[in-house]
Amino acid sequence: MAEVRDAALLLRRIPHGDTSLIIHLLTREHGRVALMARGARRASSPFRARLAPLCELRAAWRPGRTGMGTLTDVERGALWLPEARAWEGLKLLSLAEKLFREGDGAGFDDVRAALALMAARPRGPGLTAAAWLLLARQGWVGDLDACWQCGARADALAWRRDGLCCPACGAGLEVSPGLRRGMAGYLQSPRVALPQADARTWRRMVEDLLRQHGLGISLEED
Amino acid sequence: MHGFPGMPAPLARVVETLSGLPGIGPKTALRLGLSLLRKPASEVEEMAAALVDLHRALGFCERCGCFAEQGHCSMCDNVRRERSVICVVEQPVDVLMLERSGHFSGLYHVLHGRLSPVDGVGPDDLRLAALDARVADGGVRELILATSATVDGEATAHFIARRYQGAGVKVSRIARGVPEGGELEYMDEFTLGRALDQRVAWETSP
Repeated sequence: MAEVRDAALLLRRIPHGDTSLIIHLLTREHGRVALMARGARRASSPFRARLAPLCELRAAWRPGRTGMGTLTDVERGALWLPEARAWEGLKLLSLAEKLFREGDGAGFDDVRAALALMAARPRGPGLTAAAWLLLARQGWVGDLDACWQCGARADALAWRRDGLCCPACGAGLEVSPGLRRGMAGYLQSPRVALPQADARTWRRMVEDLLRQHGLGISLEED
Repeated sequence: MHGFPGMPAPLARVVETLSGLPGIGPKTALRLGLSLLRKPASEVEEMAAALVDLHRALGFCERCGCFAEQGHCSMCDNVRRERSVICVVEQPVDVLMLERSGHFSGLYHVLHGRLSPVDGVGPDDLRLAALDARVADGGVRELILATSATVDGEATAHFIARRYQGAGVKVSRIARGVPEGGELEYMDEFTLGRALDQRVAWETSP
């Protein structure tokens, strides 16, 4: 079977046998694929140092006839995030790992954009913004100026566990027009600063959305 | 045992048990089972007693998390070891490896894991509260972070470094680079890059 090449990022490494790994890659053209990386845990294996998360990989593999394909080559590019922020980056990857399933055709460019956003923002709110962007690109986030329940545009909006709502649809935590402008601006420009209270509210909104979808991922800065 | 029809039940049980161990498939398990059968019964009994003893006698040190036979490990009980330097590792087996080097005379702290959100391992799953308590007790001058040279290991190291940055404790990280006896020709580019980044000044003797 012909070899396939694609840009990829590593989502998971699962030890297999004594020396191998089963890896899950999120690729640009082929979506999420699971591959066998034979001997990848051996000291002499060229795969060992190259199979790292948070950097762009150039992977080549032979698809399996019936099941899992086999990794044949991989090159590793530069890290997308400084090593000191790897913990935050890994949290975002764990979200991506849950969002994109095998067979899904998309995801690579979304995760890459989210990591690039995180790298350009400070620790803490950077992760919140990146997670928000990733969820927005999957359609989990609605218009910031309208009620997510009835679609009415309103100045006074509140946050319920499942989204923004207008006074007619329900009550919740106040999300002021200033905060909403701040969120939109923060996603657009690294020059926009977010007050701590606003950053906390935004983080809570993202965590609520994740919880609503059964994903208990904490974005709190540890 | 689907693969070996007609196998006597006691042997099948041994094969099934052994093939649950890492790196041992049914065929190797059968070879080991037959080899055990050929040994004198007294030797096999000794082996069985050693296995039973493994779980009964061996636990983890309450203080540092290393292997321990009676609540405290031999390192924590050793008054000659330097108590102001703590080497933080991921697994108890890492302590055995570092002790084999013979280059460290301080104490250890075993985290029993490393941060890996994708596997659901967060700070609360590591023995960080116990490390907090050791640092808060005072007398700790340096923490040496000896976690794996992987992104997970690096994330764990950075996390711990940040946690203790205001605690008045020096935090260091084990070096990464060319292994002893390694030829550059066979090194990967990342190890070599790291070795250059972490190069040390050459001190000539007077």
